[in-house]
Amino acid sequence: MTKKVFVIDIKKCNGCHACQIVCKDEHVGNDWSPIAKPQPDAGQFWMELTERVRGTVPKVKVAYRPHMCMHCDNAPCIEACPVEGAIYKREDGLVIIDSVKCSGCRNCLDVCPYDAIFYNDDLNLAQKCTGCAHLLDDGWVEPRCADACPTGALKFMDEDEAKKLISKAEVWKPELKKQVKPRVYYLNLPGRFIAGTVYDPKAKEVIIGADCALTDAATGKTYNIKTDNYGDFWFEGLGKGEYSLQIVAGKKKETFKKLDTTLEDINLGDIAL
Amino acid sequence: MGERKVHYTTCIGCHGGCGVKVTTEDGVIVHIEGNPDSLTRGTMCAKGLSTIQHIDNPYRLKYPIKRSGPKGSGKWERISWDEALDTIEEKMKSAIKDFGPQTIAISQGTGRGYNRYTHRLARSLKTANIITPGYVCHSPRLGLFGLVTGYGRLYCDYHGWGGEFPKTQIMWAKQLEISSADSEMCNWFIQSLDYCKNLIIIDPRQTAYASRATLHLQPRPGTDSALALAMMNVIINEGLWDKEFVDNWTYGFEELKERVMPMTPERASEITWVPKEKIIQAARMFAIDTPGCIQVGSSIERQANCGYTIRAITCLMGLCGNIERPGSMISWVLPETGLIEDFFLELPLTDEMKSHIIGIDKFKMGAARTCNPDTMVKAILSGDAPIKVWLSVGGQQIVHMANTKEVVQAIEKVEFMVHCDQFMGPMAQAADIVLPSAHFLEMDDVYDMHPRFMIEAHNKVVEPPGEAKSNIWIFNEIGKRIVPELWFDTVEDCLDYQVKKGQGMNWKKFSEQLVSGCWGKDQVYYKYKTDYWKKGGGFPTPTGKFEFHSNKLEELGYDPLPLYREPGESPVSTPDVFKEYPIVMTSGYRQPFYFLGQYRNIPWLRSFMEYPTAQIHPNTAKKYGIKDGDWMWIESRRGKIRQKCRVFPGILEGVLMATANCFYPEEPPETYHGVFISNPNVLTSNDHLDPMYGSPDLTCLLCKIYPCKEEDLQENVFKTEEYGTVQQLGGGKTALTEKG
Repeated sequence: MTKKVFVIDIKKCNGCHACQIVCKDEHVGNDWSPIAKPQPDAGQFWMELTERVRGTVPKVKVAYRPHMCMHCDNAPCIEACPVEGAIYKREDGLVIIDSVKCSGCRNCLDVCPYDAIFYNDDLNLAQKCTGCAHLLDDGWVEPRCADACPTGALKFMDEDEAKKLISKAEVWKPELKKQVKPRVYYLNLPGRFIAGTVYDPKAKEVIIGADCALTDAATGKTYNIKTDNYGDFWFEGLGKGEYSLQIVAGKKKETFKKLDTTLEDINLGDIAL
Repeated sequence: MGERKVHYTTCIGCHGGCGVKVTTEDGVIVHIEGNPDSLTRGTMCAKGLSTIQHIDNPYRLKYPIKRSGPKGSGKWERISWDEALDTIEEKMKSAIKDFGPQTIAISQGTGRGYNRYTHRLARSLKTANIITPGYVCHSPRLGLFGLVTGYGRLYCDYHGWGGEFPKTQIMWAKQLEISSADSEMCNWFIQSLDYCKNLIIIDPRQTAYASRATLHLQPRPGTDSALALAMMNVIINEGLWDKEFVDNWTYGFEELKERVMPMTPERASEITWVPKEKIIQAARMFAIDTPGCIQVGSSIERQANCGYTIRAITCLMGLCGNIERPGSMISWVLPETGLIEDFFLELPLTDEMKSHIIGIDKFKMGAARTCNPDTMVKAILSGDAPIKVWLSVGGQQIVHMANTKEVVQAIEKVEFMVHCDQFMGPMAQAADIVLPSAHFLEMDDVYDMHPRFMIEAHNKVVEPPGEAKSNIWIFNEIGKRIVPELWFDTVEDCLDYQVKKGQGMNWKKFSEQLVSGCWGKDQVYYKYKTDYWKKGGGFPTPTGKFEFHSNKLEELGYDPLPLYREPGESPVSTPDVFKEYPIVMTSGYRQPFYFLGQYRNIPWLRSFMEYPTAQIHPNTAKKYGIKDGDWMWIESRRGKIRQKCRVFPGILEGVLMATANCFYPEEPPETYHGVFISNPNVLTSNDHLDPMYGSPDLTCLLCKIYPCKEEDLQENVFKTEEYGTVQQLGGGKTALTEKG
């Protein structure tokens, strides 16, 4: 059996929520034991679309990210499970909580670094995304969420086929990558940005083509861009850390030091030069 | 496993149009997904995909009922279809005899497949007092596009059938991917983005596509016309207009030029709050990188300057030659089955009928074949419009019309009202008889998509619950009883009649082939360069040209050119009001899980956002002491409502974006299902209307906000009684928050 991965392109997702709804349609009220018992009507999101808003007016970006079980290769839930075979890894890479064997001890909920496991109080068992393994076993080539995605943002692929994409992709919580080895990859996850608008206060006009140089304090690496037709500059896809910025237009110059992106994106607003 | 069967049909979970594949097992639906072999390529949205909770909903209406207590008391008793139809027949006949047919009003919600039936029934009864939400959604576009294209349909060519895709796309007050009002278009739009060079989003707040757009313009709500005029100013001053098209095929360029000159980008920037550089750049992109198209949202039609705004946007299209060119704005060739509206257009609207249309004296564009709903409300309240019988289908006038208080007062004064619906709701609670309607998977009908290049079949997949019937059956039965010569023996006869223009076509055949359409190489571009509209070429207008200057509008007493007017209430038009109500409010916040007033009773959909929510900027929230997730009061000169606050950095300071069309299905009938709690129309005015269409300012007004105190929430609201499977989500979720 070929190994499978999810590859999700954040740049294509428009927040339509079809993935979240078909997950409910497939699992609420349907018993796919031993892959999964019915998902409750409300309160559980085996597939959940999350929204991220960054920046301040007028430099704001909105992006959506489907969040789910990451089907880790070193899954902490499998390790924490006291019942032999109650949580297991399939040959295709999907991690399944056996809905018959699960004893309801909750250990897996505590150790999941992605908050992807839910507890069903009525059935006394842990539940989560199954990758619609019951459908795959029935001949489907992809789970419902991937099937329903109208933009092609959410894909379920053979790992070999996805190699090129995976090389450009990131996992959620990259610091855990080596430790848990997630099988869900994200393309174009938004990084931090530093942005602003440069203008000439005397002429009351924006300055087009001002040189902006951003230096990463940690690495010393410098990025250069020019302000666009609206006097805007955007440094996108930055990491969390400290930066310094120098803006030069003709003989005018402005410097910003200690721009810290650890907590949030930075909109420097209108900058008079 | 029982017997499995696969059915193909068409979704109408919004305006509809997406192909659906349904699997049943022993007659019970077990699986719903998009039909990959349809023009929408197997895609469906959250609303359509949750259909199963609609079909199986325990609160579906199953039997005709009649009121057994005062209006709004929620007391009902079951009656037979015969009793219901007999009563309706008798009331309508006596209204016609004693007071004239114009005392019968027929109302509908937004176009959901019943337009043809409401209009045919009204015309066959000889009344034109039809109440539709058209004047705040789509009619202004149809009417004003009609001035240049003949029959009024001008749509974005996302298809590439003519060899080109739009290079510059403007989404103007529209989130096709979210509001999904025209879902079949949404899919095509998304596909066309692969070929798009410039995506320009005009929206007061940030969205996922605005984040990726080439340009995002955030105007002050209600100022769109100034923006369009200024874009034309730039295009003309920089000599960027399409000279071949303008010289040969347009009328009134010099007058237009003169009109747009005062609206410089600087002036428009002051009005719209959009930086002038962005106005200039948007104008250049649209004029230089052609072909281009503009998707116009109905928020623009919910403003009292909507007529001139749509005129301005239409002129902008024409100025850049973005008409009839592949990848621009197209008036599509119809399928062989013809124009579906012929089903009612074949019955004439006589002068006598017209003379009784409420509002026709004032709103000569909007109240030409349907009445002006706001004028009707005023007239009922003043006793000038004795509506004796009101037959309502689908829509919630109580929810979507301006000034909820007056609408409820007026509707309560109507002597006899019938409402057809799938669930109880505000309109049903005001009715005397409520008829149970079938869901789209429970009926046979013809689906008419907005761009009109195809019609599709709704095929019955399962039986409706109890004695519920399709709207086509209900209207045919009522029609048969009063004007039998104009209605049909059976529903199938009626369906045969609607598709009869197709070669050898009848309902049965159409139902099997699912669609009748004209696309690909069969579509015709550049119709004005051929004999299509006019021998020797030209547009189907009085001048034979694309009309920047409209003599027709001038004859009707309107300005022949587009112009800018401030909203009825704004920082500029009412500075005194602005002092007390310092926030510009709009009600354009749409979510992909609701369609207008619909779906708050579908647990899966409701779970995304439990309570109506309004977005404000972090600084605005701070200034008024409101925290994210808190209830806040939103108050205008007309009243106050509460919505949950969502602190959202993607909106301008001093602007509030509220969720529109909200009532609470779980709230008691006496409150009209809580229509006064959170619905923005409690705040809107029905006094300041668009001169052409009579549209009120639903998406631009002034308000103030302040936090809700704990004691404010102790009233008999939000004590959600058990309602289906809607569950509390721990204080009410307002937004999707980031995890981890």
